[in-house]
Amino acid sequence: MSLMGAASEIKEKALAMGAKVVGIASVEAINRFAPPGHRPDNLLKGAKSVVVLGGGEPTAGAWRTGTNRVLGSIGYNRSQLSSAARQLAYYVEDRFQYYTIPIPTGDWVGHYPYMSLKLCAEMAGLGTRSMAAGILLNPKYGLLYFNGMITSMPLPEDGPLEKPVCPHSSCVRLWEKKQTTPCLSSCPDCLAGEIKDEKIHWMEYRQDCCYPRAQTTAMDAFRKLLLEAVNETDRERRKAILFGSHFTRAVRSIAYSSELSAQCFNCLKRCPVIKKRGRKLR
Amino acid sequence: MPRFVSMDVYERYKEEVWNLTNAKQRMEPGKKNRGLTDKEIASKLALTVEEVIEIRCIVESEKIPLEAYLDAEDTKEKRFKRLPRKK
Repeated sequence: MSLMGAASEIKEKALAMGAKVVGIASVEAINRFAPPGHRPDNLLKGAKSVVVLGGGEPTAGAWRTGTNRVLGSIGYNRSQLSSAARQLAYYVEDRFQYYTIPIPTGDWVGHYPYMSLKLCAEMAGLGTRSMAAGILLNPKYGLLYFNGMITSMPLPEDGPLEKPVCPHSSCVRLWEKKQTTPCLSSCPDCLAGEIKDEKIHWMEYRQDCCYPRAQTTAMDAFRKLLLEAVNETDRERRKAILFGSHFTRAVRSIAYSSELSAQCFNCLKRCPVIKKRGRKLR
Repeated sequence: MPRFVSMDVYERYKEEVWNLTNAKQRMEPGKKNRGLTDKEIASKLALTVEEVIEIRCIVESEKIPLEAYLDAEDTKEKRFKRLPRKK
């Protein structure tokens, strides 16, 4: 079988496993941007390709929930993609006899990842960076989550999209009128940027500002509340911290791996690329 | 197992390490802008990679006040329903 035929077969398999979109990036292309230590071939010796799976996004209905808390609770599900990536890795090893690993998607240490899934997805043509924190926007689905596999198989790459998805034409018009966009005006403390000649001229994102909103009840919140409780000398106040609602939610989030990330969504809630998906639904 | 970094070293380098991380990200199409890796930070500040990892990990937590987590739900719900006013 040709490598082109193998690539088509791998993509079909990934779609059948639950991915909404699939793309292939070459390790060479990723390494032009990824720093040493965070490259695919640092994780798998001799890696040649990265197959990226996108999906797990909020349903169109999820964007119309009445509260942020509900959207934060149902807006993402990464277990399906993670499972698909692992199954696909087994499949490629069995079928094509090349070394393959699922991409480790957790944090490596602290807030640093093993490698940037966003970069891999971008190089695989699954979306382009947006004004909203550089989150990748897919032309069809808008927001997607990503997972994938790294392989020593030299698959033909899809390469980055030629046309940027962001800014949407309505955002360009809004910028010309009011010098803002829906995402920038949703979160002026996390985001800043400028559109020039109908393109993103620059964008700045403060991860430290976004973190407590996107991961309100996740590991960092748990650690901070724990330190607060340990340092608290008053017994009753200590009880109030540990039995209080925030620590209770944090413990539950960690215990059940739920509501750990992607808990905000406000910068994308009014994004026209995402909103267009729901227009035809009743 | 990583050793705990001394608080003297931490206090001395935390701001420099923090400023070199990707906590604040800038994107300009066509330009390479990124925070440094632990190895790159270590090389720049003449620290060991292990020291940088420990300092970064602590400062990432310390820089975000507990109140930011406790107030987040309220901020998000308000913005979910209505755009914030310009400052």
